[in-house]
Amino acid sequence: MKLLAQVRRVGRGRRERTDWWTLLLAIFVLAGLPVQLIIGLTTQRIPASPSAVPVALAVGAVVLFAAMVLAVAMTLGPVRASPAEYTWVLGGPVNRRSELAPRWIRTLIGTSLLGAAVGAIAAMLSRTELAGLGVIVVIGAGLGAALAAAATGLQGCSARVRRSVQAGAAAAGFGWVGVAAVLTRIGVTLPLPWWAAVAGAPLACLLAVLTTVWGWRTIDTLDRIALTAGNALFTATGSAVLFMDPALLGDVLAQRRFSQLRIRRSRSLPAGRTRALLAAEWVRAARNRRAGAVFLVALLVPYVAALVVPARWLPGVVLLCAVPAVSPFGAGLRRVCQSAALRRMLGGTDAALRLIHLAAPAVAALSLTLAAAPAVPAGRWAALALTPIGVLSNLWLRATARPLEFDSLVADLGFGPVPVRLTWFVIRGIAPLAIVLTLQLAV
Amino acid sequence: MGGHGQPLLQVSGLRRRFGEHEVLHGLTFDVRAGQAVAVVGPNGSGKSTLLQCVMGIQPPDSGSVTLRGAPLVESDPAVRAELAAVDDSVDFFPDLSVAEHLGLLAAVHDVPDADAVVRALLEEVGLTEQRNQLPGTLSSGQRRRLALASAFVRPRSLLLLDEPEQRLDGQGVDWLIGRLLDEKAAGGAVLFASHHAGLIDAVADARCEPGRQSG
Repeated sequence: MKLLAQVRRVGRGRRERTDWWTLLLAIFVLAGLPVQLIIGLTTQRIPASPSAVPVALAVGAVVLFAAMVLAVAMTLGPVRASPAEYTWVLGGPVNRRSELAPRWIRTLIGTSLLGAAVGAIAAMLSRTELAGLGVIVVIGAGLGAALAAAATGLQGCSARVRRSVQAGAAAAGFGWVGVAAVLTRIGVTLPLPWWAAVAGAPLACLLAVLTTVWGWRTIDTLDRIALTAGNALFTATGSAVLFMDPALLGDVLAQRRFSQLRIRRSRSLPAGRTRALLAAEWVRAARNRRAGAVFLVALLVPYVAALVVPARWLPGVVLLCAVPAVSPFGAGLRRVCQSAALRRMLGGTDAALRLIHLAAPAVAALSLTLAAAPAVPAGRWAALALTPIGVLSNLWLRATARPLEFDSLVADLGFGPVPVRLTWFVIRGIAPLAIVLTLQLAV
Repeated sequence: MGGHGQPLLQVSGLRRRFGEHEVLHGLTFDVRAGQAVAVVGPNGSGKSTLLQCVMGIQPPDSGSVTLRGAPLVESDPAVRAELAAVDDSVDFFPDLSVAEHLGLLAAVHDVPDADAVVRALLEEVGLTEQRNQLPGTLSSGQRRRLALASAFVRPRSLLLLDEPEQRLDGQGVDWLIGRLLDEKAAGGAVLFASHHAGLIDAVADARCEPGRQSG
């Protein structure tokens, strides 16, 4: 033990001092190159942007998307270590940063490339000219790296700070998109300042550099809890993808929520079977604040989509947004369907219990449909009315599905063996959505 | 088996086989109101299988289980109204507190003055301090107490308990013995599987050994 302590002390003593001159040179090179590129491109031809409102809408959507990416990155890590790794990283006489940095740098490069690709696709879809394409690609790359680096910086902060940043980013994106959508809806046009097109890329690069320095400094201080907090979710995500069963991920997410849930005062439920069950559903829904946030974001999407998507497709957009918005309100239905012990305890018939627990998702589906109606032209309201049917069918079929079986009947359809139960399990939730979507387009 | 009152639960010629291994060999017994029957035997002798067949969770290969003379069907609301069970499969709403869970069970079974009943029961099982906690945050012993409270909070005529003493401390077992004796005194019937000699001796009027009895 004495020897280990000595080795650790020596290891700590060997930590290199930060070479600020090299770091500044790296910042200069990294930030300078893209800025020069953008200036070169934009002096040749500044992209024409007649109005600031659509740009603000796009920027708001980017902020909202970035808030979501940041939340996911913070939930998963982004710097993670398996039990074997963290035992070595934290317990061994090694420099923590030197162990964790290679993977972190690869993550930054990956998110940067991903951001650049998303930017390029968005630019091509909006038919931006070459100069504009360059600007957007650089912005995308800068934001991609900045998000991963900022998440790393936040990984070293307290849970309270992380939650505040997450909520603040989501609120900013939500508010920005909302204001821009309203301005577009009422036909306000504002001229775009000339410097806005040029300033975006350098700002994104500067943000990337600053957050990268923050993240780099944080890696050295990450403790076991910070390094392993996302492991369960990461493993569950992998399993859910591998076994094509979203429930594997949903269960871990629900457990995370329950571990953070604090009840100060138990609610008293009204007498009477149906009233008590409905009141319990209401109590559970009110406790799931994340469900409310998802609902609001999902409601915003059709209003934004109405600006760029043809009216024919809008009911379909509402349908697809309604699925994640309504799903959290179906937690009670899923629980009752999956637990025979709970049904026995509650009494009554299975059908009655399921129907009572369908009430909350039904109200959520109807509310979303009604609230999204102003975004859809009156001529498409008949198609929009099909939305609750599609969402609730999807929810019902997923909730009442029997547990997944991987060793069941296999059919040979000429192009290889097809597991029948597994295929049915995967398509039974999607099928009603596909049918309703087809009907919505046909109506 | 001896007892008093009309037979509430009747098990007749019950057989259950897992592959080549027959666990229940034509078991026959009944449980009357105000009577407690202990299912005893070593591990693997079929105690839990018997209780699951009685609860309707497992279908027997042959034989019958009747409640008040009618075949016992797990999904029948009348059966669910009379039968309260505690086994390893007991489940809770994960986002309702301990008190809310018991309050919900009391309300759906039309228990008058549910709040007072829940308060008294929480005090009795020693979960008053945990009343605002979620079931998932309880220790395994506390979860067992909650499971037992879930069975006692609602009206029932038959209690089915699979090793109810599991994870309970000495004080908890004493409380359970008192509760089951009260249950019998109030005219309720109890069928329970157990390895706890003290619990069996204090409560059981009759014993049933699935590993030995044959029809």
